[in-house]
Amino acid sequence: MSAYEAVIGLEVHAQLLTDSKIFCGCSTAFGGEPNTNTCPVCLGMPGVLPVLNRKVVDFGIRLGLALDCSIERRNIFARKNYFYPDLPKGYQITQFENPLCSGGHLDISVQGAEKRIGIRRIHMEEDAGKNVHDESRPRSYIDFNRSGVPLLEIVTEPDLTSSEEAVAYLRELRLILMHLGVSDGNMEEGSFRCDANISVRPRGSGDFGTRTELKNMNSFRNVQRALDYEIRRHVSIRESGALVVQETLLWDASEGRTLSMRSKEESHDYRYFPEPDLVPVAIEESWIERIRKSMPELPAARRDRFVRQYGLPPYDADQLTQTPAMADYYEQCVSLLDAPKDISNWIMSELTRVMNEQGTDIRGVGITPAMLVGLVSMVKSSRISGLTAKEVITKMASGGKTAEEIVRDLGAEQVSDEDELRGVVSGIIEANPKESAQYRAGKTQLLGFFVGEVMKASRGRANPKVAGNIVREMLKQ
Amino acid sequence: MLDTARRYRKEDLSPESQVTARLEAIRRSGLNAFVTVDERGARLQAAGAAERIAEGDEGLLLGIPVAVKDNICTKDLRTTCSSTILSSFVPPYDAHVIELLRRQGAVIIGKTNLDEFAMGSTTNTSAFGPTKNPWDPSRTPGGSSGGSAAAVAAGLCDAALGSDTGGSVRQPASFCGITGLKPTYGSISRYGLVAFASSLDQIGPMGRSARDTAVLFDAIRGYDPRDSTSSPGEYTPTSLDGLDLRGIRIGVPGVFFSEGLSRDVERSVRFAVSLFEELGAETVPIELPHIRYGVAVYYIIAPAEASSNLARYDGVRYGLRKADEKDLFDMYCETRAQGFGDEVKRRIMLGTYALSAGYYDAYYRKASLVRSLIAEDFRRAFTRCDMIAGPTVPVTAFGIDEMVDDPLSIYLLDIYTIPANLAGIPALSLPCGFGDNGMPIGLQLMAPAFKDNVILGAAMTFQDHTRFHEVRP
Amino acid sequence: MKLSEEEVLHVARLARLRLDRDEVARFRKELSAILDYMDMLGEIPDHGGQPYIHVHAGMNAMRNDVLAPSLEIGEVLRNAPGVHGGSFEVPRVIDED
Ligand SMILES: [Mg+2]
Ligand SMILES: [Zn+2]
Repeated sequence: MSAYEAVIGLEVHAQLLTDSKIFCGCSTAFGGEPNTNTCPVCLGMPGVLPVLNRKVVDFGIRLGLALDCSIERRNIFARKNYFYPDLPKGYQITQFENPLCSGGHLDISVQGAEKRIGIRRIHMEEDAGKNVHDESRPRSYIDFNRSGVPLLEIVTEPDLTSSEEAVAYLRELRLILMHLGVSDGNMEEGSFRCDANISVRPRGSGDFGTRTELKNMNSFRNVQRALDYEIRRHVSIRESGALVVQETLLWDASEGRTLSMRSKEESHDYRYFPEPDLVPVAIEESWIERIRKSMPELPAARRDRFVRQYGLPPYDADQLTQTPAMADYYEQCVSLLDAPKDISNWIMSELTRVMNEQGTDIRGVGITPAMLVGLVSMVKSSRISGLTAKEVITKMASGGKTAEEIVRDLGAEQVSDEDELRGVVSGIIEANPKESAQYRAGKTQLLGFFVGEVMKASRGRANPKVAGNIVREMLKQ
Repeated sequence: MLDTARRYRKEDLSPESQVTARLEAIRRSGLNAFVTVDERGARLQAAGAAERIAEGDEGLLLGIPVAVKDNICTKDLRTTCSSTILSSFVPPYDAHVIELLRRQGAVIIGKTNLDEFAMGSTTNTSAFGPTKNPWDPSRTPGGSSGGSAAAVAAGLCDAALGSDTGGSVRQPASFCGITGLKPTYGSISRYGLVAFASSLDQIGPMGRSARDTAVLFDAIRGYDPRDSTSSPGEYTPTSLDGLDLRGIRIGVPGVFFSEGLSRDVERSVRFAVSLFEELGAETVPIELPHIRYGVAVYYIIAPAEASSNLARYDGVRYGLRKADEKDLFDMYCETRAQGFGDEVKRRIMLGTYALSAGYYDAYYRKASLVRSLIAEDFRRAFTRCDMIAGPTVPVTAFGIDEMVDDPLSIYLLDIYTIPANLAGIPALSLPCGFGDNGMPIGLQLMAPAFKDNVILGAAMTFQDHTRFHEVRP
Repeated sequence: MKLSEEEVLHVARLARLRLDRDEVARFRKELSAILDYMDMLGEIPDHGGQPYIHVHAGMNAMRNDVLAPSLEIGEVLRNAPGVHGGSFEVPRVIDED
């Protein structure tokens, strides 16, 4: 065990699933042609004014309630002033004093141990545009489509002590955002971004070391690597007797190290002051109540319920609640067929394989809960073999046909009819006199040989269990 | 303006000929009142208005040539704020007030000169040079809405829009002998008004008479969902009958008649107050104990907001760009160094300082606390009176070359106009006499928030009994 | 004087204004005089209240989450001093803050 422990605080910026931007009516859609989702307001043209999107407040309250925060009753916005080409007004409209939510917490579990992470604040703000750097000339190109997309910034207390805890927190927060319908959590598209503050201190000591701020960690894996790297760096600096420099660092994923950000400018002085173009937002109890009533079930509660209600192992419950769509899918299946564990197995193995092969998710896979349930019930009633079922599910995903239809087309229904199988078995006994004699003499290990022959003769359609019983019965005589 | 509207209906004047006459007057005036004259647009709008009049449309603004301060955005018509940094900016949108004027058939004849970004009291800080006062071209028309005031006074338009952050409608109205209203904060949408200090800015109507001013005010006010600070209240038309002054209590603050007030101004303002008394009003002395801090408060809050509002002029999306071949930091610094004039830089510096780490509490925060005390002074005063009367400016129009060297002494001239902006209340300036040098003198009237009609009515009644507003340069 | 030359330069840097030597001296003098005048605010104690920004206590001016048309790309770029394709072009952005 190291003599040092890390102290980590995380800042997440989550993009919200509103249709329009936070202060204008432009679309928040990702991936449009540059600057096609812009207007005078989100371009910061002279004389135009922001008007707050009510849904941003709704979403902020929703997340605040999910994280047990207290909700600020009188919200004002502030201007954070700095120059950057992707920041059209020269200031970001954000909240500074009295954020929308404060004093909450999120429970995580790392290797079976529960831990409560404090949420210091959640506030509303606008996103900036995007810079694209030219490879061949010293020029950058600015696209303001993202300018004004609504964000919630979620800041923890410095309660995290390892990269594992940090990743567990981020995974759980992302799940919550997705279950609440507040954000799509898409990390590649930048809907869920994370910065970290790190320091180390001698284990058990109460003071904080010098912090560094870490940016540009755009996947859970990179968060883990970057934090581990930075913690080791802090420890080795301190062990060598040197001092950690307070600075902002970028994670370089390809080099696997953190880089100091070059800046020839002054240390930041954001000159926050109250935004005079927006009036205060008063949040009455009735508004909070309305949101509270519409709160969906949170991932932790849903996980627990899956274990309780469906008797699933915790691992299954965890996997099935990775996205709200997946969990909804599972519950629809179970409502159609009371086979919770079988359905779980099918979703986690074969359905997941099909989704991976197609590069799609549960919403795009083309197999409805009714279709999956149809398949599972055919397997359960032994109408098809497990092997056939794997073939059927692949066909189902591409063709939109039901399991019944596919099985009929394949002529693949399992033969369990004893009379029919008896005929097949007697033919095989006749064709293999030597093996039959050996079996009768007590070499019962040859059962497998006979069943294999039956399967071969029936082109895999025979129910192996029924076939085995018949072989046993006929060779006894 | 009301005269013009009546003559259109009597058919002894057409919008086309009125616009032609105004365009001709602009060309001949030599006042440098306009940054941009939209001759083609004005003629087209006049023709459109003439048709509507012929169809019997009764709208009072139909075909009326209105001049617009060049910090109010006009779609497809250059809007410069009299700044080098915006000298070629063409907005793709109309300000809310412009939409309203167009809808009512007014003719936007051109964009008037101002102090750069409305920061100043003379138009001297304009990148296009100072406007001259039609009463004496060696003198300033005041500012920042000096172009609009001079245009109205010289008959280059029938009425005009200005904007008032610390007196920028009222002070030039006073210097040019016209009537100008700084409306209640929130009664006119700021959408499309290029921001100087957002919590203080208001667009204001300017006219020859209080009635013209009232008609223009009614035309441009009202709720606009695009401005979150716009008031969604009921707006009833302002009566043009004037205010019956009997029983009206007029507060006269001693602090408005103290040192620094020139004698000729004091004489005319006291005369005006006595005329109100003759007409049945009662005067009451009132105290506004925190007014003395007004200039200090204003010159912290306004520059602080301005330093942020003007950060968008960075050479990236529109406007001037310099040192494009250098790095980004140099591009910013050079663009802004060459794009802004001295006064704008001074205020950006002052405001940046007042918000910067370690100084916020002593300057910005303290100023906004004292601002609330000033607002409270007015609330208390208005329990004892219906309106307040005093001078608009301590002096009459001075020479264009006077007072250029000392910013603070120019700032101190705003002492009477600033408080209404800080408190968000309506205030109006109307002519009440002439100084020893023959220049007009303004009387300022103030009322509680959303009582703009009270001071407009009082001004109408005053003008029914005086001729100051009818004297032409 | 209230302001040092360094402070003037620091503020100019924050505000992205290049000042020449004469301007630094002049702004130092003028701004110091103005700040001296502001000292009178020290007569009033800070009562710890909210800064007074919102003049008429209007509240909750909000819009519904409804799309409105964006600008045509031609209008977006119409006033731009530097354009590359559909984007605004600027000198290379160095740091990633
Ligand atoms: Mg943020
Ligand atoms: Zn927009």
